[in-house]
Amino acid sequence: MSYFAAPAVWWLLYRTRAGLLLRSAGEQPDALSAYGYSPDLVRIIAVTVGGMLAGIGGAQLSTAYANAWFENMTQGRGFIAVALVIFAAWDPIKAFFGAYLFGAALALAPALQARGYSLNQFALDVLPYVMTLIALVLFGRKRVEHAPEGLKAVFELAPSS
Amino acid sequence: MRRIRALSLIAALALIGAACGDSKTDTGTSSTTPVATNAIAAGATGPGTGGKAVGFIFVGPKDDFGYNQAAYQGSQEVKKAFPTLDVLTAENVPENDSATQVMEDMIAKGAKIIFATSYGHKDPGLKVAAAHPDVVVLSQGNFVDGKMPANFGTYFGTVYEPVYLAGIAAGKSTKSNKLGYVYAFPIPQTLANISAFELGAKSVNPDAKTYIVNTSNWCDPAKQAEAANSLISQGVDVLTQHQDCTKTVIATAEAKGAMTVGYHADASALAPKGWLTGSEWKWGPMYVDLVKTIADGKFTGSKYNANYRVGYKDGENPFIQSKFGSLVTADTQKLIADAKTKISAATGSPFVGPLKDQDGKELVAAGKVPTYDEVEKIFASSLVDGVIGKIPKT
Repeated sequence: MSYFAAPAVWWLLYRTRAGLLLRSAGEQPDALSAYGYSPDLVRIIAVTVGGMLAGIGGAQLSTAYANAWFENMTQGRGFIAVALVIFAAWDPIKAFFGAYLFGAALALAPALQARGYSLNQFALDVLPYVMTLIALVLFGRKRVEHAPEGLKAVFELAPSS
Repeated sequence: MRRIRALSLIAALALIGAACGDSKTDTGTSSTTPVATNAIAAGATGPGTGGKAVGFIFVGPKDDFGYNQAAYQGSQEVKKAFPTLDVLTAENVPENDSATQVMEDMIAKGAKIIFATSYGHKDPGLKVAAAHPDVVVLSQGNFVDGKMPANFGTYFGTVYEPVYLAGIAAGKSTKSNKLGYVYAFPIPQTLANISAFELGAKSVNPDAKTYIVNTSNWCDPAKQAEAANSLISQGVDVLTQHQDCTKTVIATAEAKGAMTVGYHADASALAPKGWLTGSEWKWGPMYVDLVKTIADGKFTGSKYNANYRVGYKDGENPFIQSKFGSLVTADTQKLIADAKTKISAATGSPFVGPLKDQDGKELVAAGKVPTYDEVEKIFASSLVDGVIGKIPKT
């Protein structure tokens, strides 16, 4: 699925009219409204679709991957997704590779144990979170500059107003 | 917070509804044995007497297809047996100071007896017991080293006995001679279980090895799925576990064509093809007897005011064998019945010496039969030879 999903999202964002509108809602809301669209509406639609996708992700975890549902079953893994967005600098293709990297970090501990390797397993357990922190510290400041201009404007305006 | 809980509950119900069919695989709600109504002696004095309520705290949800579900069912037997007592239950109680808070709330509501049902609820329980000498706190599964307070006790079944018997079924059924064990934490109870499972398998199949993976969490389904997949991709064809919620590992094994040995609850409905057997809790009779003993003022100095372990040797083990699946032949069932007779005898145990640990060091001397008390000390930080994989280093 992911082999197709990431290029499809890239195509949607960079090669279609809908993608152009969506990106300008983030990058240059003024241009969008000059063009006759409501940036607020586009953003609401984008957030709604994003929520739906996150819901599908949760459904995949509970019904397909783990075959069970329990309260708090994501165990904070969602924060890794936030780090992933920063790591990938809002680029779906980079997010694709980042997701595999983080996924590998999560799967490493059980995979090594099943093969009988004796490593400090607590260190393995924190690996994905350490990677998250490193990604945030190393790339955080630089990559936030890749964030859509419109999004940054919100944050930059907030303190001064 | 409550709002979020309610919302996620609605979302859960919607999901269950959407997945339909799934809801009938509710394994834990199997028949509950009727318990005679018990009258509490009037005018009893001492710790735990004169209460209006009994409190139960659970580390997970009461419908986890496992440990917490079994304990919850036990609490409902108490409710049936003592109509005059309120039974207070609290789910998802973490193993830290919030457990102390929950227990304090229950005491404020009139509870004089508290069942702290998770291993890690022991330390908060000891704190509460020290602060309330009139309340009895019981820790399920943990162990108090040194002096036992007059209003505290630990209780458990000898879980490794049925696990040993299930190991026989696994050893007889495996084709790859690789068995997989998904566990949570390297606590003595678990290490004894893994060792018993391997010894059971080895007793009928000298080539059987047990591969272990831990999840560092009593219920983290995504990690359980990763662990189960890792083991199966290594060629493991029988999976068992020591987790609170058991559904994920079983469903994963069934989907990948591996066999299952259950734990905590009868989950045969989740694995119609691969179910071998397993072990499950039947807490009702023991909980009822505990409440009766305490409410009658007979707790301090009783067998329960200690590290109480009950097994095949001296009575009813609350941890019983689950039913056999169709893959277990009549011959294997007979082997298991014979082994049960053998380990129930005074001179029997799954851990009769000589036993060696993974490094070849002696664990139990030749001919020695460890008592129930000794087992948790023997397996404080060791696994028997034949288990592949190391205990996590700290």
